[in-house]
Amino acid sequence: MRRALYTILVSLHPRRFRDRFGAEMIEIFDAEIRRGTAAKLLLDGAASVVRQRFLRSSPPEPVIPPVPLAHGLCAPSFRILDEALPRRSALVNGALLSLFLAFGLGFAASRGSGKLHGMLIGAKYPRPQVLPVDRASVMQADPTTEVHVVSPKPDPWDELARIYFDIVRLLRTLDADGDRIISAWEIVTAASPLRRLDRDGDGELDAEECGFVWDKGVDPTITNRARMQFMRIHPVLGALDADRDGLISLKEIEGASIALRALDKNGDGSLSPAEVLPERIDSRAAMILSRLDKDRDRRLSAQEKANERAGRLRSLLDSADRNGDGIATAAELTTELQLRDATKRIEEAAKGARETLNPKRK
Amino acid sequence: MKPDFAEFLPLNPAVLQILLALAGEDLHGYGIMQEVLHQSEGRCKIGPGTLYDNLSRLMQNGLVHEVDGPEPERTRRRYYRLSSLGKSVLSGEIDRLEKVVRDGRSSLSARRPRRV
Repeated sequence: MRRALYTILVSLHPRRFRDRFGAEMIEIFDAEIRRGTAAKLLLDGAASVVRQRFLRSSPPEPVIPPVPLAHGLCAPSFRILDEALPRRSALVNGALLSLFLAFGLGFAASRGSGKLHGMLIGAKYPRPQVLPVDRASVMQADPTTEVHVVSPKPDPWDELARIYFDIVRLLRTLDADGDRIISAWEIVTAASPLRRLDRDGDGELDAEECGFVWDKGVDPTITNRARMQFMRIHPVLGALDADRDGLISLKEIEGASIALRALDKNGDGSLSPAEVLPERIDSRAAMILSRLDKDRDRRLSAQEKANERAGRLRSLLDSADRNGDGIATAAELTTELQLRDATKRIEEAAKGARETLNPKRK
Repeated sequence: MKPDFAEFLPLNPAVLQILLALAGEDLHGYGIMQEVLHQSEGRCKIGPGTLYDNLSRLMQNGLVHEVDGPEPERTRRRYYRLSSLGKSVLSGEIDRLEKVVRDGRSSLSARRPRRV
C-alpha cells in the first residue's frame, strides 16, 4: 500500500525528473521499507512533488539531432546552432508578441494617415501611393521540375517487435506508451499493470492471461505442455516466472522490476526489442509471419503461402502444415523450425564425430 | 568563463551534507543517504526527493558529475562524483564556516563577564 502510494507520488513529478530519478527513488523506498523507516519518505516524496512542480523551472529541452539523409538525396536542411531549445513559455510569449506587433503594424499601415501609407506594398483597392504593376512582363511558365520523395525503409526490428508485442499480451501491457521499449520507468512500475492482467482475480497470472492462445478441442495434456512451453520460451515470461511453475504468482509480480532488470543486457536501464525477443527460432518464426501474414491472424493461409514473397520459404511452410489443413499456424511454424534446427545440429554433431573417428578422411 | 565558486556560497545544509558525503568517494543515491546519516551520527537524514532535487541542481551547475559505478553495479545504479569546482565550493564553504566559528568564539569571549 505504502509502496503504491509512493509510486503515485513519484509519477506526479515532472516527466524529465521522473525519468531521470524516479526508478532510483523507488529503489531507495524499497530498501527503506525493509528497514522499516519508509513513512517519512512519503512526506519527503509529497514535498518533492510540490517543489518540482511549482518551484523548479524545467531546464531547456535539448535540440533533437537532425535526421541523416539517405546517401545521394539532396534536400534543403536546417540546423540549430544552439545546444538547447528555448523554453516553451518563451516560445508562446514570442509568438503572442509577434502576432501583436504584426497586427499593430498592419492596422497602423492600413488605417493610419500620413507617412505610414508609404509602408504599404500592396492594397486590395487602388490607391494613389501604390505603384501600378505591369503583369505583361511576367512570362507564362510551365513548371517541369519533378520531386521524388524516397520513403524510409521500415525498420525490420520494429515490425518484428510490433508482432511479438501483439503475441505476448503481458509485454503489450508493460509497454504503457506503446513505443515497444520497456523503459526504466515502465520496469519500476511493472507490478501495477501486471496486477491488472489478472482478469480472473486469483492473484496469479497464467499462460492465457499472458497471451497464450490455443484451440479448445486439443488434448488437455498437449495443451498443458504447450502452456508451459509458452511460459518458458518467451524471455520476459521466463524471467518473471522465477519458480518455473508456469504461473506468475503475486510474489513474483511484486518482484517484477528486479526480474525484468535481469534482461537488460546492455545496461541502459530499459528493455529494447532485441532484449525481449526470444532468440533464433521464435524470432525467425515471427519474422516469417511479419513478412507473409497479411491479415495478422498469426496463421498463413494457402493464399498467403502462395505469395511471391514466400520464395524459398515455401517448402518450409508446406512441411510446417502437419495436419494438412492448408494453413500454417504460428505454432506449427515454430515446431517445424525447431525440428529443422534440431536435425541440423544432430547432423553437425554426427559429422564432427565422424571426423574425430576418421581424421585421415578429412 | 569558469564560474567562481564564491557565487555558490553559502551552501544550504542538505547540499553541504551531500558534498561532504561525496568528498570521500563516488557514491550512488542510496549510498549518499547512508553516508550523510553516518557522518551526522544519525542526526541528519535526507529523503530521496530532497537528495535528487539537490543532485539535479548540483549537476546542472557542474559541481557533481555522473560516473560509471564499479563493475557489478554498472548496469543498475548511477554513481556521482564531486567535480573540481565542487571541491573548490566545498573547501570554500568549510573556510567560511571556520571563520564563522572563529568570529563567534571571539565575540562570545569578548562579552564574557570578568571575574573580580
